Amino acid sequence: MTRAWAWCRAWLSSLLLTVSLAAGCADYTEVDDLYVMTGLGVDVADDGRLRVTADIINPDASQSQQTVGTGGGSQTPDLVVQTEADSLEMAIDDVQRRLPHRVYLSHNAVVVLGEGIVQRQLQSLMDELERNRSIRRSELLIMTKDRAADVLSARVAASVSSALRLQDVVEQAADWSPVLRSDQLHVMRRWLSPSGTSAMIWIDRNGQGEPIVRGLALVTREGRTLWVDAKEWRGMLWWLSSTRGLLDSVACPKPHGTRIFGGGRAREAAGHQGEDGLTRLDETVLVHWLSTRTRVRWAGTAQRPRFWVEWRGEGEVERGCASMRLDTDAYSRLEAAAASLVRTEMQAALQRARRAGVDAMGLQNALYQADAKAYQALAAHPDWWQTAPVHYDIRARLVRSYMVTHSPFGEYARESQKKSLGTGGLSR
Amino acid sequence: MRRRQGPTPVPQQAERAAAELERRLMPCPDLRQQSLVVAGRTAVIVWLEGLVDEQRLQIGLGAFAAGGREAAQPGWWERLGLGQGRATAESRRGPAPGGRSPLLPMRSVRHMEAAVEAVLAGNAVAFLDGEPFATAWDVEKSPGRTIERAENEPTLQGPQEAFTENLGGNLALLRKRLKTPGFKAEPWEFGERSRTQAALLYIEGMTKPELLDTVRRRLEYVHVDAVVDLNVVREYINDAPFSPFPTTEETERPERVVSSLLQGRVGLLIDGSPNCVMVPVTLPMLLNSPEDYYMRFALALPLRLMRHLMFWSAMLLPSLYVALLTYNQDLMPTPLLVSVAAQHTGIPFPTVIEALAMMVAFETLREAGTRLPRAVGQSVSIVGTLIIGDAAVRAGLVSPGMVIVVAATGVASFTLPALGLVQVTRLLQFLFVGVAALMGLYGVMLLAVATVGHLVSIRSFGIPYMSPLAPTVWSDMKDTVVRAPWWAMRQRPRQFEPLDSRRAKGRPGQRQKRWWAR
Repeated sequence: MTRAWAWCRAWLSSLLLTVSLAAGCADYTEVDDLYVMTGLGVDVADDGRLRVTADIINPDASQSQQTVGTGGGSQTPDLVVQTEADSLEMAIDDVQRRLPHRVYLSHNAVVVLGEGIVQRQLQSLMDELERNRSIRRSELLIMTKDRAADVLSARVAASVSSALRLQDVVEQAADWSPVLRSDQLHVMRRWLSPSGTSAMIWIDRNGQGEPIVRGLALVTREGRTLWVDAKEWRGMLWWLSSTRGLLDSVACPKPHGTRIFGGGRAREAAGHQGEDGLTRLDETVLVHWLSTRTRVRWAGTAQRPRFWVEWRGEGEVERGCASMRLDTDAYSRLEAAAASLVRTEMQAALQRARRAGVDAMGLQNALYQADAKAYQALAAHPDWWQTAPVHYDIRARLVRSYMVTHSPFGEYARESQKKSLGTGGLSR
Repeated sequence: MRRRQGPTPVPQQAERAAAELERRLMPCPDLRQQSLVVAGRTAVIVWLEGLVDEQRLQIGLGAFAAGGREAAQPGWWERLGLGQGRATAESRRGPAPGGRSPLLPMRSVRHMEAAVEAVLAGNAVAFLDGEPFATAWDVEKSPGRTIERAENEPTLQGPQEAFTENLGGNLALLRKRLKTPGFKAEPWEFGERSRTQAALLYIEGMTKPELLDTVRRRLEYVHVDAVVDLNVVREYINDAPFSPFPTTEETERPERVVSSLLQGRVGLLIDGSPNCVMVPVTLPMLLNSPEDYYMRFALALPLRLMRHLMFWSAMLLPSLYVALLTYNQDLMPTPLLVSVAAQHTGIPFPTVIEALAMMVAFETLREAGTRLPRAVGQSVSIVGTLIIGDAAVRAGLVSPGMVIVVAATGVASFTLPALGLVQVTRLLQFLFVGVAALMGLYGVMLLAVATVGHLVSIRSFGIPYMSPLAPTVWSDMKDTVVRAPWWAMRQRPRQFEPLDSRRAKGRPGQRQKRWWAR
């Protein structure tokens, strides 16, 4: 009996081990049985349903690229499949029905959202994206004013799929500011914050059909959208996050004692236009902001809401004024002018956001994090943040590097200094 | 019941005694006899051709022939053989009579069984009429190699000598490097039929006595017919006999044995084997190469790190590749997935079959390269790797990625200095691939955890196999992954608990400091 029981136990253990090991086989999928989806485009169809465009890697094209001399280079690197359905899941199921292999969602890199979807079905779409376990939360969410299908199927490079090309474009833009890398995780996190506003990168096609970064799209939970063009996004980027490598044109500051006519700081800030209306490059200093950081702090009470914005930036002069000597005094005036310009840009961005009813700056977040009770007290007046005063503490620092102070103009300046010394002596 | 027979006394007739010895050994075509007449009596000398040094044999024969008048005196024969033990004539009796070499060790043999053993051990045995015992003198000169370069553990720098199959020569190689009376070579004999001589090596006053007792106790359990190689004894004495991981260390380099003995470890040399077993051993020690000690200490760190990495790579690389391609495609970067998928398109086999086939092919080529003569073996390896691999890829039987992974695994295993570890990786990589095919990365992780658990649970002669990493012995870290400069390693490894823990004490009253520390 004992011996029989021992045999029985051994067999049972072997069986259990085999079953437990083999249980994983259900997930066994050969890599060549997969259709790797790298991009999704979502538009609104005429009948109000979702028009979903899937960008799928074409394995035959990839294989022919690796095989020398097969002449398979004419194949497109990706397959673009379009369908219409009531939901994203149903659309993906429909795409799956049309393809011979399993559609693999885990490598989806971008989701392009058309303008219409933001106004009508964004909440349900985001909900679906969040719930789908096959989709990574690191995928990039891209807004477009064109049709998402057009952006996703823009054929630019013969060897790279459109979605991966879009991913590269976004990654490149994210060097300026992390907010431009609008991945699903962070977009959702901002969307669910008290401010309820997410920033997403805005990409359209240019005249040649290539995808280019147009600017920023600020989307609220309610479906309001503020499109900020790249030409004027600096002020918004100062507000949204730290930045790196942004360029700014600052009007050449006048020496002490020189009176500025017609507009004071505003004119100095925007003073790179001559009287003829044309841009005068020789009257501006090009500042390259190496890094900036912004902090928004709540500094008021529930009765008197008030915010304090702290901006710190470090930059260097990329191009100076031709007639300007970059001495200590000039640097101080240049830093003041740069700070003034940043302040003006931030104020303009704030005004624009307030007009659009989009709390892109996260003023409500700052209040909630600092004083949740005050936030609850102000909840009865949802528009309080549009009128709350904001105080700015802006400090710009320009790096005095050898390359800057000894520019080719420096040699010229020294020569002219020698001449002036020879004729009139040292004027200091 | 069979009655046990006692030893047979040596017959007093020399011819009869020689015939009896021949009867016991026959058929034995290499047995040689020489009859002499010494002081009117017949003497027969017997030896085995090929086992003896003919020059020394002639000296012995000359000693009999020159016996002359002295040989007729009573007791001469007994005095010649000294009657007992091994000793030289010089040491016991002063100058030898009749021109006999003073350095020729002679001894008396009273039984035929001992006479046979003496002949088999390379002695010449002489029988003399009227004498109830024989005289044996050691003229052994076993055929064997001369000292050659270490081929299995090559280094660019440092000593190049290697052990041979001769125990006496191997001991001499050690004594040359270790001129201390504390160095002991305890004689042992294994094999009821082979009577293989062995030497247990240690340094008295340094090696922990408990360790020595453990080794001796285990050696006493070696009951075997013949010991033809060190591995026979090793399998008898090692810990965790069913573990694939080696719990003893082998080397063919004398200076490594000396280093080990100076750490407080124990060595075992066996006649007929060109290797020495050293115990105890730990896994980090098996990943150290002798070269680490012959180069600048700073360079040893990256090389040792690389070996640790390669050890795990040699076990895990194919299984990780299989798991990533069949279960966990989401963990690969998208461009890599696209590339791998394109490579695999059109391959007729599942990934796991492809991997196993390539691994078996690689092992076959490696085995062929080992078994064949060296020149041919190298050709087979190159032909197999380059031509067959390329042809298989062109034929669409395997993907290029799989060839790269299997080849990289093989190369990774070649970086391991201990042959025992290489064999472990060869074995375990198949197990890991099997688990990867069943459960993906999850299974690989489970088996890896089990492997690490096994590694930390086994011991080598009482020392945890993963020490000084687990359990952590911080002072021994100086020679684990990093190799501290020699002047910083003042203490011997604590894990072996040597009786004398300091490597050098310096002169009495002199402080140990560096020349720059003034």
